[in-house]
Amino acid sequence: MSLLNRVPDQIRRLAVILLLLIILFSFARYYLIPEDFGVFGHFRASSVELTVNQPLRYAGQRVCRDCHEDVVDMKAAGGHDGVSCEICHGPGIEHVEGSGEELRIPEGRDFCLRCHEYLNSRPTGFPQVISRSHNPVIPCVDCHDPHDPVPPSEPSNCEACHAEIAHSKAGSKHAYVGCTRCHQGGEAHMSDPRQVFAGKPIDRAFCGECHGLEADAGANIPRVDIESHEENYLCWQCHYPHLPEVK
Amino acid sequence: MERPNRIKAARPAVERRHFLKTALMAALGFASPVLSRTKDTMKRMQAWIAGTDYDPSEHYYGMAVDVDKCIGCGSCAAACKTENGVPEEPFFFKTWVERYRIFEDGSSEVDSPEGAVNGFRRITEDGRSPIRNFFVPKLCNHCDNPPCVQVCPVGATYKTPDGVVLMDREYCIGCRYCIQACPYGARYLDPVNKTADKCTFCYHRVVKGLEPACVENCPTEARIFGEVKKKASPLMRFRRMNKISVLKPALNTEPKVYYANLDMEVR
Repeated sequence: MSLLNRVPDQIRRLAVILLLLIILFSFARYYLIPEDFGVFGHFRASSVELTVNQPLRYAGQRVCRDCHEDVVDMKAAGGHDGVSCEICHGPGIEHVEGSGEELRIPEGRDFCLRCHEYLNSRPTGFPQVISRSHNPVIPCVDCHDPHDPVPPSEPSNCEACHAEIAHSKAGSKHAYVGCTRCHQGGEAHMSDPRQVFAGKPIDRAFCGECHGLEADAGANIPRVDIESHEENYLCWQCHYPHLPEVK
Repeated sequence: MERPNRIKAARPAVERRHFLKTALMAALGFASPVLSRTKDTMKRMQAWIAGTDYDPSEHYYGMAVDVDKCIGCGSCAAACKTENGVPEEPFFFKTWVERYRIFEDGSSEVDSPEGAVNGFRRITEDGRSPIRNFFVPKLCNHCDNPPCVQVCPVGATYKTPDGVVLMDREYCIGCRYCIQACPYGARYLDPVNKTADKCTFCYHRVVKGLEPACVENCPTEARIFGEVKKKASPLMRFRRMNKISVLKPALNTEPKVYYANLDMEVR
């Protein structure tokens, strides 16, 4: 007691207050700082699990091959080899886990054009089209197989490439005149379009087969004197055969 | 030293001693769990992720982006929103794509309509001719020296031993310091939770051996995810084979998103 008595009174009082403050601090620290804070570092250890427990949406393309081996192998050999299945078919974790949910199949043109529409910022050599002139309105999958996207070797019909012409002809008086009736040699053009061009009528007599005064054709077909009517020109130089109503 | 009499009279010594003793004992009682706690917690929390043998010290993650391969389709940005439930509004992104157009007169324009979630559309140049024209995907750089972690006042954002900068959205107080501190604009304030949020490198996928959603969904394989410290990883091979740059190297943040073929105009 003599030692304690030698310490000045005010110091003793302050020491008690200091001790109480330290205890209060530890007490506050205990109740305010989460239990797992500082286990691995300056953060709550349980927050790692909070992040990790976030549900998955994309299953990853490795699991697709377990069931769809044929399609995945076909894709791996083609130009879309690096394109993961879920880019086009959407997040598939529920499908993989057997919910019975069907994955989406993109239709029309907009989805493909997201990558393949021409943009001057895209890297050189990436396959791009200008959708306005590349067979408008025809869905891409009509000609291109998305799992093996080589350019189509042979289109099924003329419309596949010449859609604009086909559309105006479909609404015209020439709707029932087949393309190859006038464009002779069109079959070879279909398989080799850059080397073989489909022919056009080279003389007026060709149109005269239907439109001549003596032609063996329907009575409601317009007739003209093929010999004397603007004899310096071929018919299609003035009349647009795909929409002949146009003046 | 003798106490003055008047104090003795005013406060009887016994009563004070009794009070102090009781207070001290009570305080020690409250404080005892503080002293005993740490060891128990350590025992319980030995696994980084409970129920798995995932060892974060065996990994160190980074990402590489080949700018020459990016076609600007925005699949990464869209997939990120789907995978991580990022709000639909066009100003919350964990990853996004920017289009850079640099003109003959030296001026440059950058745009990122809706973060490229729906891809890009063609823009008419009004007679100006762009001499360089490309897309740059962006995301959190998962800096080795992250300024966002440094400024967080509560320890709600942190760098994991495997090199990923994560957010504790339940502990964040929403003070926005980290959003201000990030030089890459990679953070946003979640409008629902009112806490900061950011790219996690899809940590929930990565620890399960999957690739991040943006890497998984890049059709041209412009993004490569992998190990920074393992010489045999695809990421390290990519870094050896290409001229690599990072964003804002002068800030010494030491980003772990490595860009190949990056134009010097990109910030």
